[in-house]
Amino acid sequence: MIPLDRYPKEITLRDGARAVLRPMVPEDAGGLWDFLRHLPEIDKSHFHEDVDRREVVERWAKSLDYDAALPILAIQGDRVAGSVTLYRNRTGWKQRIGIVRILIAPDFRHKGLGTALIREIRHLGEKLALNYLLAEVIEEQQAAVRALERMGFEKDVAATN
Amino acid sequence: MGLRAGHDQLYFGRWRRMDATAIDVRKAHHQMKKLLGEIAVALETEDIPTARKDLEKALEALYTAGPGEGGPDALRYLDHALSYAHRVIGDLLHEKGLPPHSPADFARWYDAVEVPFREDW
Repeated sequence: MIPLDRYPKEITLRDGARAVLRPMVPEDAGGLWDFLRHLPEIDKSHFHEDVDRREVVERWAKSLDYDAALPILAIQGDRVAGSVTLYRNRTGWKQRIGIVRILIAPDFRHKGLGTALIREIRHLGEKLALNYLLAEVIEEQQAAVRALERMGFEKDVAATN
Repeated sequence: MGLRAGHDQLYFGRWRRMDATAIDVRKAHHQMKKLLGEIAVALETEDIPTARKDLEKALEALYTAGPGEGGPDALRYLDHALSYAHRVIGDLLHEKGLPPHSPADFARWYDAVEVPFREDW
């Protein structure tokens, strides 16, 4: 059972700005697309699909399945400022492993939003009785790597081109 | 004293200096024990399993450090305990919707010669 009763959850960033964390719903398609297409190209390299195409994001929004992928959005006003998604396998030995992907809008970086999203996903992982959380980060995102390490993640595998 | 101030007293404490004495380390051990006790009380009414685990790790590090024995290992374990404590305080603040705590913001209140650079994300 996914513990969604804690949402919407209000958080405060380092600069005093407020944001709301909540699971993505189908109506977020437009906001998420706008957020994704403004990310630096290196951040988009996480995706297997072209997130600049609105129809791709709309398809995701229509097929939301929290048991397989739980996207938590950080919303400020009506804008998506960041997201963290927890991917899980339903069956097999990997069902106790959660894969985590965090994205932050460039103008919301270094304000503690990334760390807040890591805290959030650690909480969800614990509540879902996951044994491991595996965060996928691009090595160039050193601030993200350091934030994950401060929160208890250990560098495990580095894949290089 | 609040948890954040309790943390910062240790963070900027004399025990972390090169010229720290055995008394400084013993005092830090005592302060750490007190801080972790206060954190445990604050956690009693909260449902934050990750924070409970980190508190356990902090207590384990504190006991491994020993009661002010000194030496590099003791200092390292005290340092670990402080890091875990900071993570728990961060979880408590996050749950209450409060901004994250960064000791660097309070360095001017302490006799801090230099504050390690800490980049937030």
